[in-house]
This record gives sequence, C-alpha cells and structure tokens, in this order.
Amino acid sequence: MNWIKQWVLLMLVLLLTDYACANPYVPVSEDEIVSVFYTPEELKTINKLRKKLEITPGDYEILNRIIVLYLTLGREKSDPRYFGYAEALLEPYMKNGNLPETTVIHWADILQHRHSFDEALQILNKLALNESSQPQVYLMRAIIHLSRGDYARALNNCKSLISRASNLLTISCVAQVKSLTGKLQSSFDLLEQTIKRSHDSDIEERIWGLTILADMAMRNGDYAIAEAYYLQGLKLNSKDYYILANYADLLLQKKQYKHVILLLNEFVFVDSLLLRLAIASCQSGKLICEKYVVALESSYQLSDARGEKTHLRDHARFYFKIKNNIKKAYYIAKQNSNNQKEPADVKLLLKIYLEYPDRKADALPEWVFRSLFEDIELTEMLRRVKKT
Amino acid sequence: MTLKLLQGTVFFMTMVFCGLCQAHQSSHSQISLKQSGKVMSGGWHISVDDLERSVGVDTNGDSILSWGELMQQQSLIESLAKTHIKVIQGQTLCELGTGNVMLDKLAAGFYVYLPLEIHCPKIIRKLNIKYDFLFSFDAQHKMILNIESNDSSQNTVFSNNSRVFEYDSLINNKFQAFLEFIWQGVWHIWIGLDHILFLLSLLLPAALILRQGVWYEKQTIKITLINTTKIVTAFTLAHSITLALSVFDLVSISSRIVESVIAASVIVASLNNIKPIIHRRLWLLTFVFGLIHGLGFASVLNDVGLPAGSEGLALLGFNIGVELGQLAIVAVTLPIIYWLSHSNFYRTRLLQTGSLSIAALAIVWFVERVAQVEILSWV
Repeated sequence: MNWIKQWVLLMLVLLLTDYACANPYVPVSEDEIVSVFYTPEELKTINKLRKKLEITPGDYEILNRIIVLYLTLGREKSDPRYFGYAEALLEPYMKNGNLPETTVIHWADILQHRHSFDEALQILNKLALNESSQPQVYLMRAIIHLSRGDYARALNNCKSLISRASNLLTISCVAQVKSLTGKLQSSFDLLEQTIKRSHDSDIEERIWGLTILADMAMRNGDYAIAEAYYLQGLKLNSKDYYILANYADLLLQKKQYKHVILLLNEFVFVDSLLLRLAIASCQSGKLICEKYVVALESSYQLSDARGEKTHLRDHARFYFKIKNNIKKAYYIAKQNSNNQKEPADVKLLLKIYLEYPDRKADALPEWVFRSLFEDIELTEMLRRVKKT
Repeated sequence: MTLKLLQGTVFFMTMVFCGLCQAHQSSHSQISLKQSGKVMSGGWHISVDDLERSVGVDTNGDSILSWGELMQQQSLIESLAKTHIKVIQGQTLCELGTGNVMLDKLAAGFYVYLPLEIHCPKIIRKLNIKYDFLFSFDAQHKMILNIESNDSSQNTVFSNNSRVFEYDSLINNKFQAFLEFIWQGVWHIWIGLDHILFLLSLLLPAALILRQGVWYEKQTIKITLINTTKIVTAFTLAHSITLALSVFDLVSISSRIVESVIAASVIVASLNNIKPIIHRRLWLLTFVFGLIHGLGFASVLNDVGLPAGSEGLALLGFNIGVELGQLAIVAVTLPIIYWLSHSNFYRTRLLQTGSLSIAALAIVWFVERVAQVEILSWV
C-alpha cells in the first residue's frame, strides 16, 4: 500500500507544481518560502571589497581582486551572471587609457567568455604588440584562433608562451594545435611525456593537459587510453565541467548511459552537462528525461530571445539527439560553424548532415572538406559524405 | 508546524520538478504589455535572485526569503519600475501605475511580477520606451519586451548597449496602418479649420454666376457639380503632390512660411468672393494654393510619423482620408449652398458677410503665423 500513498502524493505535488508553473499568483501564506539564497563566501568578500572600492575607486589592486573573484566564481559555479557583474564594474574603467595590464587582460577574458572574439583580439593584439610578459595574452589569442580553425596563428601564439609560461602549458598549447595539422601521434607522445615529467605542475594546467591528451586519444580511436586520462583529470578536480563534459561524451559514445547519469546527476545547473544528462536519460528511457528536455528547451529559447550565440553547438546537438529535428539541428550547426570550427563543431555538422534528408539541396560549406585533421570519426564521415 | 512542513515540501518538490533542473542563466527580466487606445497594461517580471543580488530583498539576512518579506518590498520594487522604465509619447512622459506584487515561476526560476498600467496622453501610435534597470550592476542583463496590439505582437531585447526602443504600433501591420492613416487623413481635414475655410470659401459661390462683377444668377445643378468637382479635384491633386514630396524629404519649406501662406490662401479665396478677380479659372487658384496646403498636411504627417515598412501605403491611406474628409464637408455644405443660392439674401448679404468673416479670421491667423504670436487661443 505504501507505493499507492507515494503515487497519490506524487500526483498531488505534480498538480500543485503545474499550478505554480502557470501564471503570476499570490501565495496563500506570508510564511511561504519564495527562495533560499546561497551566498558563496567569496561574494561576501566581494561586497566588502566593493565598499572599499567605492571610497577609493582608483585602487586597481582592489579592483583586480574583485574581478578575479567574480571570474573565478563564474567559472566554478558555471554562472554567467558573475561575468556580467565583472563587466559592469570594469566598464567605466575601460575609458581610462592607463589601466594596469592585468585589468585589461581581465576585460579581454570577459569579452572572450561572451564570444566577442574580434573585440577580445583587438585588445590582446595591442598587448602583444607591446611585448606583454603575461602568458594569458598569448594563450587567449591561441584559443580564439584555434576555435576559428586558424591553426597557423594559433601555433604562433602557443610558441610565444615559451619563456613566458610553464613548460606544460606551452607544450599543451603547441601539441593541441599540431595534433590538428597532421601530427596527432607525435603531439600525443610529446604531451604524454611532458605530463609524466611535470609532477609538481599547477593543477589547473595539469587538468588542461590531461583533457587535451584524452581528446587526442579519442580522435585516434584509443577510447581506453582516453578514459584513463579523463579519469586522471577528474581525480584532480571532480567538478571540472569541461573534462566532465568530454568524459560524458566518451561514455555516450560507448552507450554507457547509466554511467553518464551517475556522473552528471548533481550538475543539472550547468547547461552543457544537463544536455549530456538529458541525452543519457532519454536514451535509457528514464521518466526524468522529459523534465530535463523542458528545462533545456526553455534555456535555449531564452538564449535565442537574448540574441546569444555562445552555445550553438549544444543547441544543435539538442535538436539532433533529443528532439530529432534534423532540419533545425542542421541549420543551427551551420550557424555555429560560422564562428566555431573546432573538431567537435565540424564533426557535429557532418553527423547531422549525414542524417539530413534534404542534404542535396542544402550543401555543406566548402571549408568542411578542407578540415583534414586526424580523427577516425571525421575520416569515416568524410568518406561517407563523398560517397553520397 | 505541519502547515510549514507541507509548504516546505511543496516548495521543494516545485523546485525539483519545475526549477532545479534549470541551469544557471544570464540575468533577464521581462515586460509584457497589451496596448489599447491610450493605455498599455501588463506587468514586469524580475528575478528574485537579481533583486536580492542588486538591491537586497532578504531584509533579515537569514538567506531565506518568505513571501511576507517580499511583500514588504512593494514600494522598493515600485520605485525601481518608476526609475528605470520610462515611456515617452512625443515629449511627454506617460504615467506609470503599478499594482501589488505577485509571484511567478518561470523556466529560469522564481520571479516577482509587478502589474503595470501605462497611461499616455494620446492614443498610442509611436512611443519611446527606455529601460536601464541593472545594467550598471550586471552588464549582461537583458530585458525582453513584448507588446501586443491589434492582433500583432512586437518583441525587442534591451541590453547594456541598447536601452531605448522606438515602438510603433503599426510597424508589422500594413492593412492596419492603411486603415489608421485613412482615419488620420479624415481627422486632420476635420480639425484643420484653415483647410475647411479655404474649401468653404471656394464653394460658397459654386452655385452662382458672376456678371459684371456681381454674383446674382443661380446655376443649374449640373454646372454647380462641375464647378465643385473642378475645385475639389484641383485641391486634391495639388496637395497630394506636395504631401508626397515633403514626406519623402524632396521638398522642405519652413512650417512658418507654409502656415502663413495657408492663412493667406484663405484670405485670397474669401476676399475673391467679395471682390471677384479670379472667377473663370478658380480651379487654377485652388491648385496653386492646394500645393501649399499639401505641405501643411505633410507637417502633420511628419509629426505622426509614417510606419516603417508601409510608408507608401500609409501615405495613400492618408490622402484617401483627406479626400473622404473633404467629400464629407462638400456633401454637407453643397446642398445648403445650392438651396440658399435661390435667395437674394444669400447673394447680396450672406456670401459677403460670410466671406468677410472668414477673411477676418484668416487675417488674424496670418498675423499670428508671421509674427509667431497668439491672438486667438480658441482656434
């Protein structure tokens, strides 16, 4: 009988929930809890520092401390609002031509985060022209060029990290670019050796290196090796969203849906991870799938309404894998590839294209056929495309 | 205690099924309005989280926000709306009224809903809507505005770099724009006393004939109608030409000159009835002055503004409206004029005194418009 009680309670709650989701309403009681705020400790520190900054607005040390705290919080919590707070705080300062270099780099970081790549590059190029000693300048430029498929420029910037950044960071950057220009195996070997030798390296740098290494193994078809490196990375930080997403992709490829659900269950507040969780839940026929889908769809609709184009790859994947709306998925994937030409973007575009019934009428962009980076999946897909 | 526990359970389950699977979103608020006549009503959705982080609504600082606590922030939320949302019609700020706060659950979490009612002085066509809440705190904050009117809906997004929206109720509805501008045309001829008196001055002798400088014989209906058609057609043709030229910025003459010449045209047309100088080709006089009247209509039209995307259709509608307005005046006045023209009194007294009165009024207008002073406040 217990299950009947639980069922009745669940139905009751669902009814109430639907009511609550509908329209503006006046809660029955003044005691009803509207929200429970979680205020990170860093936010309390920020508030104190902001008060100090109000008194001495020219204190760049305080300003930079606040910005670093905001950006770190934004990345850790995957909460884009912290980037907005940092931007609003920095914006009035950016009219001043004599800002410390670190402040300007933070500004470029914010621009890059919201995919304003041209504006970010404009600032970074100026800094690089003045021979900046800050490795972030070159690293950010390398990442932007890489995401646009401009490997020559990306490599040049990676090389500029020599003498400015650690050996691991430099090699990770160089290996990542070179692996896309016909040197996958040698880049993998070089990075693997470097990681093995860099025991005392910075944890974040190590995680980045391990992720790149695992990605390279994936492209080589060595899934077991890739998994081992993803797990090594997760051991260092089990809440690194980037490595979690990539590892979940590996598991999805192996159809290990239960494993994905277990891995990502607690990360529903991160859109990119929620998408993987939704794919796994829907593929394995879980009831919760529908709720995830509704949440994702509303989030994408909101992004569209806001005019954002930052996560189009995920949007396309959502319509492809979950909604089975190939036409829409293809349209978004094409739109995404105008700005982002990373291997994952190219491969997704091809995957959708191969399933697209009207593909003859809506051809692939020409540049896709010039994307000849080593990747067993890509090679196979390009072969199939040429056949059709 | 049991009640609180139940409420807590409902809240928790609501979050689980409705919200907690929601990823962190960039900050946004929403204003949805329905426009009807001079009023726009709807409401403003503001995230509870945004309110807490920017202005602080958890007054007791226990990190738990109850509905009671939120209700106490009514005046704060109202003042945020009045400070950060401005709706301007022409140069006048529309009055923004607010209702009691409510709660809403949107996909991105819990939102406060503040009912809004915006009253503008005139029927709403074009508005300047300004919004600048939160941008100085969160540069990525966006506000999604939706306005529904006449079965069409307009959406726009306000952002840090885009804080003003020029609303035009007709922008997406060509047929509606066409009908609206027909009405504008009719209305502007009816309230434009100078245009009416110009036309009336020309029509007063339409049923008479001039012999040796004196009006005295009654014309047939046919000739009266021909005379009237000539005058109305000449006026229509002339003002249509200059109206189009002016609206599309091909002709530009200062409104002071245009308005003064319009007054002068009324003087000339009315005095011509008392001391007829031009009577054979009255349509030519009508045509020449009609050109100036067209420029006068254009200044009215420029104030109202043509709806983007359907300028041509709206202009055509306005012209049709002016003609319909004119025809209505003719339809009412011509039978009376024709009937009165039988009498001696009309030919020897009424025509003269009527025309003289019109001329007197037009002289005052002329002086007012040339010297930019106000003599008669009621016309």
